[in-house]
Amino acid sequence: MTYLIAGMNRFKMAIFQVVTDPIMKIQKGIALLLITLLISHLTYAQTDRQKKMVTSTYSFIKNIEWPEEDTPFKIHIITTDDDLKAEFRTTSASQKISGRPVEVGFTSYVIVPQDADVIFVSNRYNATIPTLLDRIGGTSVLLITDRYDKQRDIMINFLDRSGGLTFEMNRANIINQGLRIKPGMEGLGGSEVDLAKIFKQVRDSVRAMELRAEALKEQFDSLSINTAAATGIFLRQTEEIKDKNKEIQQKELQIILQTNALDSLRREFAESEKRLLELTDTLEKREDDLNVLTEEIDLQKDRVAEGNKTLEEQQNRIAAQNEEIEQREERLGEMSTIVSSQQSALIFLVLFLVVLVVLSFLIFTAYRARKRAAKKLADQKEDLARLLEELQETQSQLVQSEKMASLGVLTAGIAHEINNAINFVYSGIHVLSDKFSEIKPVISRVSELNENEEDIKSTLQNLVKEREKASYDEAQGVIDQMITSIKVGAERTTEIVKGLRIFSRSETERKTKIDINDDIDVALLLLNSRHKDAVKIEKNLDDSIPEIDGYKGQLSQAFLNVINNSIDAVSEKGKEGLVNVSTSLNRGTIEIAVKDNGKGMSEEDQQKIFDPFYTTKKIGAGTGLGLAITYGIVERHGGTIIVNSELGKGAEFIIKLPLAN
Amino acid sequence: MNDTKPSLIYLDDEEINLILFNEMFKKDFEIFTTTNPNTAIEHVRNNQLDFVLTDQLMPSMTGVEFLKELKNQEISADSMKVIISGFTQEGEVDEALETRLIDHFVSKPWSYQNLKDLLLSKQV
Repeated sequence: MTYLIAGMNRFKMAIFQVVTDPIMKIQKGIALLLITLLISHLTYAQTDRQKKMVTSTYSFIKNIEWPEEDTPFKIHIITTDDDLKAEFRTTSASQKISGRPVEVGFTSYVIVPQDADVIFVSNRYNATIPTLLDRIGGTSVLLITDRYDKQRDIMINFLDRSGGLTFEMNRANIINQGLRIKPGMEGLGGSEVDLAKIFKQVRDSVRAMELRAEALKEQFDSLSINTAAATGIFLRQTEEIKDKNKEIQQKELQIILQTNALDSLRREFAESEKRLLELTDTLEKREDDLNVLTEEIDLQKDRVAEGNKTLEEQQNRIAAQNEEIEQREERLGEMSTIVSSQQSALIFLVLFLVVLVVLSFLIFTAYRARKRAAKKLADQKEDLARLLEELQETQSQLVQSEKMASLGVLTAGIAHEINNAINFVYSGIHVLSDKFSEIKPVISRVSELNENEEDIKSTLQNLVKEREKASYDEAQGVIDQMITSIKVGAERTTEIVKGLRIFSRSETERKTKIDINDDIDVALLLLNSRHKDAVKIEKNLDDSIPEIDGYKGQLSQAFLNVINNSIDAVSEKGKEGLVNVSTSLNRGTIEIAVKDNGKGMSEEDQQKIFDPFYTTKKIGAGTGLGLAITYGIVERHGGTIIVNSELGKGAEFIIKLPLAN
Repeated sequence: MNDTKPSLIYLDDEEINLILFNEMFKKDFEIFTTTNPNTAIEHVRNNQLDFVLTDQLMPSMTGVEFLKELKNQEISADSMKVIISGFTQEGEVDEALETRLIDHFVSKPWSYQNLKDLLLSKQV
């Protein structure tokens, strides 16, 4: 139809052209008319084929026995051909199959139609037929195809032959669908498919498949052999891997064991190292302290030795010169004797003069040498003095450090003393305020007394009653007592603090007047809590000893060290300890003696007791510097300190200090 | 006032401490004080006491030694033992606390309320 309209349009255009160009256009018009007629014929032939196909389809359908059902008879057409569709629609409207109205459905894609009785597949969709057959196999569906080339699969297939549209039929396939063909089908013409040809086709394809199967089997067998070999190799390798794994595990275990051993060794080593370092540190510290002292002393010794050596050399030289002079004198004497005996008195005189000149020259030389030596000696003396000063400075620093260290040791004892004294004050005030509130009513009454009061007698009676109630007299006694105790407490605290101040005074201060007995008291006060328990202190102090010039705090430190030492010696021995401290004046010297009945010390200990860092006490109980410092302090005051002792029987320290130094 | 006040002994070498203690606590306790450990031992032996209080640092023996003596002589096992001292609690005293030779340690200066509370709490 479309072509027809298009053709008509062209025809109209042709006529238009004829009018505009008469001669040329007539020839062209005839050609166009012929072409238009050809196209119309072709179009007609095309629609005629579709019409025939639809008519034939209905003829086929009617020559088959269909089951009788109430549902419409469904014909499904798979095509894109609009003419075919139109033809089917037109024809189907008036058709009935076994009394059922016909329903036609179209799709332009391959989908398996539901409940279709007949499926028509146009030539374009031939490729989908095998799938379609799989789906409808065994159901009572009739398949009609158009020019499908596989005869073994067709049911009814349209063909174009020289005589026009015809068809071929595969009866077996239709019967296999469960459909029965009416005898009228034969009258429709068409041809039966050649079964022998189909059989040959099938057999050929089966044979081809068999060959293919054999080839595949061979391939498969060779693959199997390969696989078996590969499996063998795989199993062997797996075994090997297992063995290797085992080996690796063993090695790992060994490594872990070795690592552990190594770790513990490392730890031990680190600990030893740490201990060694600590020991080395302590040693070094001690060594350093010692070295400093030793160096100072050595230096001083060296200087003195050097001075002495030079002096000695000079003296030796002078002596040698003197000797030489003597020898020469002797020789001169001898010569003069000889000359006198042989020559005249004049020659003797001349010789005598010569001798005199020589002698005076020698004397002069000797004098000059001696003067030079004296100057050198003076220089050395100055050096020594400076060194001594430096040494004293170092020593004073050491003294202060030791003092602070011994204070540290004594802290707990001093705190005890202060706590006791504070208790007097603290508790005294508590009782005092109690008592005061008891007698307060009496005081209130007294303050209420009025000179002009009329009934003075009854007021007084009340006052007396109140006084009795408050046990006023007793309270007054207690109050006095409390005031005394507070006073004692306060005084003791003051004393202790004063003692501490004296003790801790730095010795860089100038010399001051010192009362030795006071300093001993300070030492005893600070040691109070130490000697209280089981150690008895006896004090025999000579009040007549005069004050001396000295460094305040230093001497009390010296006394504290010595007395503390004695208390230790006594405590270590046990009970019944006694320490006697005495002072006396003896021919311009003050003598301080500290005697104890403690454990005493050996000859060896006595020799080393004033050495720095020499201690027989437990670690932490003493600095090992106490008596060394004491020695230095006494020396600085121009005094001496000695110790007399017998092991197991006790010891006596005697300090002697000159009145003036 | 309750007639049966709890009884105690206080041993201290400082006379002033004894006077102060007596004045402070005479309303609360029946008090016996002495500076002599032997007198103290005799008193404890002859009286049923609720508390034995002693100083630690004394000339002839320490408080701990005094209490050890009481234990050795098997007297006053039931009374509460307290040491009062200006020292911090250490050494012998610490050991005595651990071995239950003493029940409490009180440091000087003592406070009236604290000491009273400590002793009377035991009386409940």
